[in-house]
Amino acid sequence: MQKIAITSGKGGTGKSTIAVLFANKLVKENKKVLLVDCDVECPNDYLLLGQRLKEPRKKIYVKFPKLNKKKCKKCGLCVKICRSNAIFQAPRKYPVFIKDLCSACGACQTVCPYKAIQSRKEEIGRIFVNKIKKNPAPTSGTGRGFWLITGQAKPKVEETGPVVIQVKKFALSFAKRKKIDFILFDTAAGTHCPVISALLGCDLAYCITEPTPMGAYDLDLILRLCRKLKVPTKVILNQADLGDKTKIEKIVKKFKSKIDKEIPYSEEIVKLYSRGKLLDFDLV
Amino acid sequence: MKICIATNKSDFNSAISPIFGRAPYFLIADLENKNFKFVKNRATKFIRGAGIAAAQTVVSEKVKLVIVGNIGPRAKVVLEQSGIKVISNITGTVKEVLERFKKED
Amino acid sequence: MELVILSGKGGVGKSMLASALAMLFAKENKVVAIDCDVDAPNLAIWLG
Repeated sequence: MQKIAITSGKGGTGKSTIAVLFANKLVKENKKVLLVDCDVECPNDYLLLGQRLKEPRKKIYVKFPKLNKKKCKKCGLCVKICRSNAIFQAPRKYPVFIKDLCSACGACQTVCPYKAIQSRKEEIGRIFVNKIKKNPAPTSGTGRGFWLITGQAKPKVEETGPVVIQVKKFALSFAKRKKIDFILFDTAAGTHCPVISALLGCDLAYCITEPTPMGAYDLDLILRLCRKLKVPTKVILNQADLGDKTKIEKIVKKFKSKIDKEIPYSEEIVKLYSRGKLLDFDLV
Repeated sequence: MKICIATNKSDFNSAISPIFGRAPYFLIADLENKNFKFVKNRATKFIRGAGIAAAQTVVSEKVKLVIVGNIGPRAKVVLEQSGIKVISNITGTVKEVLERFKKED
Repeated sequence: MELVILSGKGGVGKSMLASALAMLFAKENKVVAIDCDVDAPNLAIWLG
């Protein structure tokens, strides 16, 4: 089973479009494919495929700490142990838990000698599963499809890294059951925690970029991140005929990666994309 | 009265720090006993929660007032809830601020 | 006046619009443009 990330650094370079088209291509080659939308703050893949998110297959929870003042002896151990600086204690007062900074790691609860810290379950996201099917078409042959798993973070959740981790866990277990050949992880743009969570453990990351100075700058950032995470990379230059690719080539060389594909601008794909009609196993 | 001034360097000619959470130093000034010490801020390299960690350092020094350029909303709230007054938008050097403070009392 | 330029979708033209507005307002006003995209800041590139 191959785990491939489709990422970019820069937004709007064509990650989701390419992820969906790649899934189409693999299905045409008779592979069993699972596409996982890890852009949990703004998942779009289901829209590109003309799908709807109905009932969640699973809800994602974290446990936030809750202080029981009757048991608390104000010893301050929880303040010392917290790596997120999410606990504040004025002298002789009860500790205050700052939820926005809390990563729900549970360390404070574990370390408290008086068992004064309990937990409060809160939903931070949802997982949806869609079977993407196309009616048997002459060229597609078997009319097979692929699976789409969509992770969706609850609005106002500050740290969505944990949402992505749960989505991936669910996806990997699903993939094992269904004997999937290829899992494609469509990551968010950027280089922050949700992107890192999506990239970790992947066999390969396709980094999508565009021939502009902004594309080059952000490509440098994402290649640097992938190197740190020890994820091998290949670069896909999207809309390759619309700009100067010299800077891109320099950066690809610097990180010892390679430009795997150069995709020219296609008005047909843009039109299909904006209408949510990217499900076509012949559209490669 | 003990007060705290967020500073860039550990001397009296230093400018007031424009930020609280990652201010390099805090001057703890005991104005009655004329006792002054510069405390290094451990939160300068923290990725998150620097303001809270800095506030934790300050609150343990038992000051009644904090003077700084700017302060984030979380740090401000926890300080004020601990009974510490916060004066922000202050510029100048430590020396100048202490003089101004003496005059206005 | 403080203006925030944001969007849900990436690559729609936030940095481009922000830099264009900054240049436009700077003709008659003092302008500070702040790039809050800490992961992949592009505004400096747009502004040369």
